[in-house]
Amino acid sequence: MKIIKSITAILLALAILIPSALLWSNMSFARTSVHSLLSALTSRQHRLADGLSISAQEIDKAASDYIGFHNSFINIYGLGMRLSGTRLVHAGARTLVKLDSGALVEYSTDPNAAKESADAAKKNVASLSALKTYLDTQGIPLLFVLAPGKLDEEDPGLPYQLRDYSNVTADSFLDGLESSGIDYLDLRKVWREKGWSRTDGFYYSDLHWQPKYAILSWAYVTQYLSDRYGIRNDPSLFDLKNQKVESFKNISLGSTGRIIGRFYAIPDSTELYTPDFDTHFHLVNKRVGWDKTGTFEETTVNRSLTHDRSGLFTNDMINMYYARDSVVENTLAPNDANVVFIRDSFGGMLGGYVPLAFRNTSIVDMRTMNERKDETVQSIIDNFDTDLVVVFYHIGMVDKEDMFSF
Amino acid sequence: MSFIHLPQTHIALPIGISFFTFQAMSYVIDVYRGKGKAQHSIINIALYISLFPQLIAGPIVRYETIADQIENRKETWEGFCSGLFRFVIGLSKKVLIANNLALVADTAFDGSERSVATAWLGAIAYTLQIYYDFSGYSDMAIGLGEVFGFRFLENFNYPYISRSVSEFWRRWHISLGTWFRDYVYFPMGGSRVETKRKLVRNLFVVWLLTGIWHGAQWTFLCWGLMYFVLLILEKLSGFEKKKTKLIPLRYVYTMFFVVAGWVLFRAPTLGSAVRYYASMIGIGATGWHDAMTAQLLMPNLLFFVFGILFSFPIIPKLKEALSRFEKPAAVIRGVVLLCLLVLDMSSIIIGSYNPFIYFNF
Repeated sequence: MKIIKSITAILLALAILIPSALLWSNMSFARTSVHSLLSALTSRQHRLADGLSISAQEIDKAASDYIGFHNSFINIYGLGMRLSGTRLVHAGARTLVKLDSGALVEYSTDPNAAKESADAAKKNVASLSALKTYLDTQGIPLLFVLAPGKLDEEDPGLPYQLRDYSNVTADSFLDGLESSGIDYLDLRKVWREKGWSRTDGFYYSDLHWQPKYAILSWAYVTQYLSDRYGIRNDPSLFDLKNQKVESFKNISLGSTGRIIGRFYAIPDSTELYTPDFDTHFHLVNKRVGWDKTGTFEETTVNRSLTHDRSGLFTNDMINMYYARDSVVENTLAPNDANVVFIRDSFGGMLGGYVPLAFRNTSIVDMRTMNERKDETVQSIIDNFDTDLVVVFYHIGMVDKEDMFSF
Repeated sequence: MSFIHLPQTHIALPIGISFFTFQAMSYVIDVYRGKGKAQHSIINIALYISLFPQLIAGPIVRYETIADQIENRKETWEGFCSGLFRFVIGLSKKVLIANNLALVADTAFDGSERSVATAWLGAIAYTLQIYYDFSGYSDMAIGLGEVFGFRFLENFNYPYISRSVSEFWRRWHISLGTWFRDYVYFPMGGSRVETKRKLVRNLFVVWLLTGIWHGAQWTFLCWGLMYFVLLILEKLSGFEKKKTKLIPLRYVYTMFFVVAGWVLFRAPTLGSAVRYYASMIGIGATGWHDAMTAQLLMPNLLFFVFGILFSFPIIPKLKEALSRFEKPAAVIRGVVLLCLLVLDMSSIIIGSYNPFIYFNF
C-alpha cells in the first residue's frame, strides 16, 4: 500500500516538475518574462499595478506556450474533449465548434455578437462606398468579390442549435453594396451552382479554403472580369489540367486545429499547384526588399514551408505562396490590365494565380498597410495607372473595420 | 452602493485582503485569550499571516488551531503524499468542473434577457461553480499545507446535502463561520441569551458582517441579510429539531434558498438580481426555453452530471466500499489522480476559461 502511494506521489511530482523544469530552461520564456517585467516597471503608459497585471498575463501566456511537452498536453486535452463527446470547446478567448463534417470553426457565443457584427458590416459598406466615390472621380471601376466561409449558408452543420450569423451578416453587407451601386461577385452562389461542398473545399482544421477550390473560384472571377470589364483572359491558365500538383498528406493542423490538437481536430492534407506552362514574373516587394525575376515557381512559391515536414503543429499550409504587398509584372499576360488587388488571407492563398491574370498587379493587404511607409491605398491606386480595383475578402472579413480603412 | 453619494476612492487592494486581515485579527484575539502563545519571532508571525497556500483564497486559519504547528510541525513522506493527492483533487475541482460551469453561469448572467430554463440553468451552474471553485482552492491549500507539515481544518463538508439552512452554514465555508462564531457571535452571548430579541440582534450582527465581508455591495449585504432571516426563522421555529418524514422536501427547501442566494451573490447589482429572479419565474423571460438553453446545457452536460454527483459524498462511500480491496483501490486511485493532473495541466496550458471568484474577497 505504502509503495503504491509513494509511486503515485513520485509520478505526480514528476508530471509537474519535468514540464516546469523544461519551461525554466527555455530561454524564450526567460526573455519574455524579463522583458514583460521590465516594460511593466518602466512604462509610463499605465499605472504600475496595471502594468504588473499585464506583465503577469504575458508571463502566464508565455508559460503556457513554452512549457515542456506543450503540444502533447494540447493533444491530451483534445482527446479528453473528444471522449466527452462535446462539440464546443473553449480555449482562452476562442471558442471552437465541431461541424457535422468534423471540421472546426471558430464561433462567438457572445449573445451580442450578431448585432455587433451587423453594425460593423454596415460601417464597412460606407467605407467601401467612399472608396468607390473616389474611384468614380478617376474613372476606375471597383469590384468586390466575396469568398465563401466555411459554413454553408443552407446547411451550416452547427450543433446545439447554434446559429450561423456570418452568412446573414454577409447577405446584409452585400445588400448594402447593392444599394450603394457597388459591383460585387458573391462566390457563395458560384459554389452552390457548381455543387462544390464546404467539406471538400475547405480545410478541416483551418478556416481557409483548399488551394484547388481557390483556383477554381479564381477562374470564375477572371471569367467575370472578362465578361463585365473586358479584361480578356485565357481560361486554360487556370484549368487544373494545366497545373503541376504536389500533394502533402496529413501534414498540418491549421489555426483552429492547433488550439485543440490532433485527437480532436482532423489533420489536413493539402496540394501545391504550379503552372505547367511558361510563366515569367517580375516581383517587387519594397516592404521586405524583394526584387525577383523568374517563373511563377521561382518568384512566388514558398518552398521552405511546403517542404518542412517537422510536424503537424508547425507545418504551414496557408502561406505556400509569396504574394503579400507585392507589385508583380507578368510579361506573358493575356491582357494589358493594371489591377490593384486588395485581399485577405483567402486571396493570399491564390498566390501567383492572381498576377497570372493581369499584366501588372499591385497586391495590397490592409493588415500590413501601416508597415508600407509613405504609401496609402489611394497613392497606390494613383501611381499604378490603375484600370480596376478588386477587393477580395471572405465573409469573415465583412465585419472587420480595419480591413476597410482604405 | 451607488445611491449613497460618498466620494469613491480607487485604492488598489491586495488580493485576499479579507482572508489575511481575519487571520491577523485571529492572532491578536487568540493571544489575548491565552489560546496561543505570543510569537516573539517576526518570521513566525509572517509565516502565520502570509503562508502562501491559503493566503489569497482561504481557508481562514485561526491562530489557536495552528499556533503549536508553527514551531512543532513535522514534515513527513506520508503527509507529502496525502497533501499532493489532495492538491490534485482541488486543482481538478477548480480547473475541470468550476471553470467549465463558469462559462454557463457567465453567459446566463451576462445576457440582457434569457428564458426561464436558461435562467435556472445559469443559477444551478453558478451554484456548482462557486462550490467547486472555492472548495477546490481550499483542497489545494489544505493539501499544500500538509506537504509542508501543517494540518489546516476542513473548510467544506458537502454543503449541498444539507437539510436546513442552518446545516448548510455548518458545512459551507466552515472557517469563516467558525471565525464569526468564536470572535463575534459567542462574545455577544451567542444563542444562550436571556431574550429572543438579543438572539435576533446577535444573529443580525453576524450576518450583516458576513455580507459585508464579501464586499461593499448591496447584493452581498442583502445576501447576508437573507440568511439572517432564514436562520432566525429556523431557530425560532425549532426547524431542525422537528421530526418529519418529508426529508426530501427539506433538501428542496434548503437548495431553493441556497440557489436563490447565489443569484443575489452573483448578480452585479440589485436591479440585475431582481431581473434575474423575474426571468426565473417567467416574468420578462424570452420563453420557457430557447436555443441558448440547449447551447449551454448540451456541451456541458457532463460537467453538470459530475458537478452534481460529486457534491454528494460518493467518494467517501466508494472508499468505504473498496476498503476490502486496498491494493487495487490504491492503484486505481493512483491512475485516476495521474489522469486528472495531466488533464488539469492540459486545460491550463490550452488557456481554457479561468475566472477566480474568491480573489475578490
